Amino acid sequence: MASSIKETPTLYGKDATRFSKKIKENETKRVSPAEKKRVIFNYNKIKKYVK
Amino acid sequence: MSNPFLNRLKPESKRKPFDCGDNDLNDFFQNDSRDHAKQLLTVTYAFESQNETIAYFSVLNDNIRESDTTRKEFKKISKKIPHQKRYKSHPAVKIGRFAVSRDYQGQGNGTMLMDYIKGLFIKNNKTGCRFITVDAYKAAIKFYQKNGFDFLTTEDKDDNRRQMYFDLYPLSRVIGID
Repeated sequence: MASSIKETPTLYGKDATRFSKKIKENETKRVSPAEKKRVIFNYNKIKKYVK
Repeated sequence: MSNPFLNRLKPESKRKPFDCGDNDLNDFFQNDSRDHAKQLLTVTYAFESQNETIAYFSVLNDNIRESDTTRKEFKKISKKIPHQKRYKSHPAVKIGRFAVSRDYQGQGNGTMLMDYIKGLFIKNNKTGCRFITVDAYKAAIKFYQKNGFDFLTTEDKDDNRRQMYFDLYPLSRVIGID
């Protein structure tokens, strides 16, 4: 039997502060045109293979 | 890789040969994923060719909870007021297992599938989902970092698996929601 999937922990203290800060930053974070192009390309590519 | 397809596996679906070089991940795919599917715990998708499994991933519902207290304070308050919710909760999808066959590693297949998962949970999500979380094996941490994942906590920094997350929001703003 394989090892079990670990549960996502509740964030406390510094971990929670860091996480909140990151979410706030992400509200205005820019994604590069290259990343956008790659994700759309790969998503559409695999979508065609869905059985 | 000729005529691959992505197959959502049922408990009884045939698992084609797969070897990613890690016994735990191989074992999960061939055995545990059946029981997980039966019990509605995870859904496993296999990226396959006619004769073999190129890669697979297993996903499940998750959430990220953040408390505005320290763990110590949280325990203290919980004893006094046991049933009150004292944390924010953010909906997420967890990648419980993700692996690429040894023969197909280092060719961009992992990133291709990860981009598909990101797109899927932005464009075709059936419920709210802001984050992708992952139970990452130490050997795969660089891969997840390369794909934009961050560590959730420092408490597991010495463990052989670490909890990481990816925020779908910035990407959703540029690729759009269908």
